[in-house]
Amino acid sequence: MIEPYDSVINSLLNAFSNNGFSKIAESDYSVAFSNSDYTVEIVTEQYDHPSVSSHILDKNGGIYSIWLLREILEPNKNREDIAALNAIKKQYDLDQGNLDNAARQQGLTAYVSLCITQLINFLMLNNAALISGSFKAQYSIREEQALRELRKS
Amino acid sequence: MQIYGTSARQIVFKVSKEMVGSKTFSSFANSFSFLKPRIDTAAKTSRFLFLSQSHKQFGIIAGTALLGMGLAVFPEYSDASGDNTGYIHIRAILDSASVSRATNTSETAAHTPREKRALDRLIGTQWENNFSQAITTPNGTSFYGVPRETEFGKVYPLILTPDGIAITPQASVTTTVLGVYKSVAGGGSTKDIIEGSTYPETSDFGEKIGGFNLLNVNKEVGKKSGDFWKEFNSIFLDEAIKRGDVIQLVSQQTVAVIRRQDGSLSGYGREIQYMESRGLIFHPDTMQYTTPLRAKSEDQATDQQASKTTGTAVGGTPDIIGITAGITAPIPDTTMQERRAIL
Repeated sequence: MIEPYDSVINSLLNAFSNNGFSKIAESDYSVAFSNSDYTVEIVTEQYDHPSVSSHILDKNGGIYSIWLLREILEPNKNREDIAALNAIKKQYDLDQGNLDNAARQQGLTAYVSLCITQLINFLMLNNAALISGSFKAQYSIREEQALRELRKS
Repeated sequence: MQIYGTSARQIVFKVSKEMVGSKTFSSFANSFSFLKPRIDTAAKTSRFLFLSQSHKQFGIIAGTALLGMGLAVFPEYSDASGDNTGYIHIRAILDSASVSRATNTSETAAHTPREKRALDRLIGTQWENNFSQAITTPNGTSFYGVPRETEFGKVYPLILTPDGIAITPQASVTTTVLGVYKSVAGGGSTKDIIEGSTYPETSDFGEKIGGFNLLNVNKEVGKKSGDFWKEFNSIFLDEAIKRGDVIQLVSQQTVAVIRRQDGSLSGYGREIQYMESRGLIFHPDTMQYTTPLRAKSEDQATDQQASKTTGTAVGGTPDIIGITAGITAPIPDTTMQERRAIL
């Protein structure tokens, strides 16, 4: 992946493998890890950074956003984690881009590192639910709701 | 039919006389020769396709299929064998540099990743099977559901996304294409369209009648931007909305592609929100957004479109109909920078 995503993810490869994931695909803008039950794909964007989108793909072709899964399976923890990410954005002024390049890169690295660590922790703690698919009914309702809200906003 | 060989610049199919009708291969080849100068000119700026009326089954099949994959094509012929077999070279024009002719079938230039991906998409795929089946059954009535007789002369440039969305620039308007940059779970993405259609890096968001309009700003320019949304993305959308473009989505609208892990909107999510907030109307069947004005006049436009011929008959040879799908090309960022420097 492009930097700093590549360096950060490579530095966390052991954490992925310790949880049973191995890297199965990689491109400039995405990387995918899989265990025997599902695949986790991490994607970034071309211009707007930091941008970490992550989702799991089940064996039936279902695609589930990590953000929404966390909203369903561990909403309080998700809110705390998002607040921590936003604090980094604020500290390094990542939304406005007013800092010099070196400071911005430092901020991007800190942000991506925390984001991927949060992802690994979520996968580790919720593996059973992700395998069983117990979230699916709720996910479907919440996804519809999220899309409706987007169109209204 | 068999794929005879591939190289970085061409795909060679070996085709027997029987497969292309009653003409000999040399007359088949000669029938195209007068178009070559036009092709050389058109290839610099446009996608194009030409068909032989005498061999329309081949033209439609090859043209539709390859354009359907986002590749510009042209057939060229050699009849060096002197017998009734020959080779049809279908060269995928993968970038402007590859326009120079490659006449040697043993060309072994190294594949670039982009070229390799394009070739991989063709070779050994269901498409290749369908192509093979269709070309060897000249009495068949359809290919991909397109009736050969009625649709001859009406072949549109198509791009098929992995989600099965067929997109094509409309003749009378600019077609703006939106989607996630990198494919999510193998779905459609603007990156695939940009690479498949050799769309340049450009900050030219102007009108491109009959062509595509994509957000593909030079990476260095994009990186230097303090606020990419404000400086480029919203302007790109504003211009498309103001013109009344057809806005074609190539990615599905799911939470996985519109929300990032931190819950914020992705670039694509923000684009959807922006269009919704400006009252554009989404058509799930075509995955398009249109302005309310355009939506109202769509019925009329459809009627007009149905009676239009997209191709232009060329040349003085009565058994040939040539179709050039001329597309207004965007100005690459490099050229724009040169222009600014001059100004």
